[in-house]
Amino acid sequence: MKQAFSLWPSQQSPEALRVPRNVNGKLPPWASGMPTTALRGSRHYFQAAALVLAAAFAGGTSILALPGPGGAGASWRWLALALAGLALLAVFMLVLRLLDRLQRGEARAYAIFERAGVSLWEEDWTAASQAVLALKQQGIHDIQAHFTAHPEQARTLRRKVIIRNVNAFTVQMMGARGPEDFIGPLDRILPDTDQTFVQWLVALANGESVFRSEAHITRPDGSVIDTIFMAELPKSLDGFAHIVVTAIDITDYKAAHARLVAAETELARASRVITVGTLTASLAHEVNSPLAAIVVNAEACLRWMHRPIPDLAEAEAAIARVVNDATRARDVVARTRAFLSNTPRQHRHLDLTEAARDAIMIVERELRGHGVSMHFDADSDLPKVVADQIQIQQVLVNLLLNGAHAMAETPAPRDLTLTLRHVGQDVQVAVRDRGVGIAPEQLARIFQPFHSTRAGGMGMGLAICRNCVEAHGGRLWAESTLGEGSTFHVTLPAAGL
Amino acid sequence: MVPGIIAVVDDDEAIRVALRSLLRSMGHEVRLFADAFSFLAEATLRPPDCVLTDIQMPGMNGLDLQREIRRTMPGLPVIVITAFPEEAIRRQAMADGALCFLSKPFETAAILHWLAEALGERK
Repeated sequence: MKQAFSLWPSQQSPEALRVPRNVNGKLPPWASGMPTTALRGSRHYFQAAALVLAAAFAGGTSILALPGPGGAGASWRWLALALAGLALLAVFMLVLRLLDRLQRGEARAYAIFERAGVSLWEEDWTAASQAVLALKQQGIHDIQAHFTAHPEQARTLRRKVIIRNVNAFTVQMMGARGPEDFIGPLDRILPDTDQTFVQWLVALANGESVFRSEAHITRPDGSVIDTIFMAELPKSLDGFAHIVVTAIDITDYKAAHARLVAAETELARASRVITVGTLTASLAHEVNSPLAAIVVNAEACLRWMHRPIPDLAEAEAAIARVVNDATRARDVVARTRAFLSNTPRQHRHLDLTEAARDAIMIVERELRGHGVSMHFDADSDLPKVVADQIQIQQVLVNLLLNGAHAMAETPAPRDLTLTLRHVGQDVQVAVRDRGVGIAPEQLARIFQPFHSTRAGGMGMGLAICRNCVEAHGGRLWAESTLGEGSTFHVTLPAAGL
Repeated sequence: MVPGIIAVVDDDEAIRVALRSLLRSMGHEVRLFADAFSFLAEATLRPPDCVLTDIQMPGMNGLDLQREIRRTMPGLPVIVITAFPEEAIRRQAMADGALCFLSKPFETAAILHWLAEALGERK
């Protein structure tokens, strides 16, 4: 079972998370697959019916065409008509049996659908599959990149996915009055903050046989629940008209997992804070001792000089010690800096795709709360970078939240796009929002410490982010157009092989 | 101020030497000790008029030294100085009867004030 994409946390190995790309230009198998409707199983009935009909027709017409032997023409014609009638009757019987079989099959399938102890959705993805096929035929093969760049096209397609029916379990799970609460376009229940719709399109383009995704959907009462959607994807174009999707409510699981991720992040941060606290204390001790000696020596020097007969030898010795102590204090600071720049950061080969997914997961709820539509696309050949995971994650979290806050005042859709690209020797990260934008004179100042545009903000975020990125040998800068939004760029050098 | 005999116990030589210079410029006699044990060994024979002690020292720390002084030489004023001013340690030192608790770098005026107090008490 091949899985195209999942945010399912238990599958969170980098391999499982990597989105496979079908960029070789081949069309997915379903584009040329045989029809798979219920009629296919009954094909032999049609064939038999067609044969009987053809034979009867051929027999009938040949008899009619033959010059009747004498006056016996009329009886020949009667015989021909009788044959044709028999043939029609046979066809009629066959069609009746076929219809009966179809009806019983459908009734059975419907009963299974309706009574299943799991949420089932019957959906029509015809328009989406045709759109994906059209893109592939136009030579656009990286579907993920295409829809990341054109979120409005994905939005249009989402409106064209139609929910045809849902079963009783779904109605109960969603707290709905009946199936009619759901029947209609998918975007009624799949909010714009959903990240998984494009993954479906990618799976379609790749010709995946099974697709599984974690989405969140809106219940009729307006509340949002997390679900796992799973479907077997059809093997032919016509099959997209009736895709049966299974949904499992994982809201509680997700909430518990979000708490776990938050706790782990907090723990990592807390251990850093403890390290910083210990360092600060030891630094204070190391620096305060020579400072104390300097103060005492200076005071002693003054006293030796202010004696009725100044003792210049003692005063000079005291001043010489001041110089020594000051040198010692300077060395302590230099040593501490060297220590800080080496030890606390835990550099390792870091998969930025994984780090970005973690960051998105950490801020997922907050983004949802801001009504943000998150789009994410990473090059599949992205090299690793040598970096501290927690720090880079903090930078990404910071940039994502900044983007979300920048769009707080803008009307929906609030697209936030994170892309990871391999450019030359660098990995380029771009976080683009469609918020209010930043005025040119502000743009230079946002990276200064204590610059804040937000009430209650310390204004340290971007300054710290830039420090952190530069400490990793990278760069962080912003581009912005007022009224259109901003893009924050981060480059990090790719790890050598 | 009446000159007296001041003992300085600190593992940091720079502080010891600086304090000796300062206190001598004021006319006091100064004895330097790099650790608590060497101080205790001598002080029982020739007790000073006042002790200035650091807290963080290898071997016996300043708080333990202070308690030992309370036990063996009650009435000997102790001034505690530290580069690591923690409230818990300060409270402990004061509870154990320290004259005062100063953090490095300290105002020399503060040392002189408490020293005058200690020597005045002594006389």
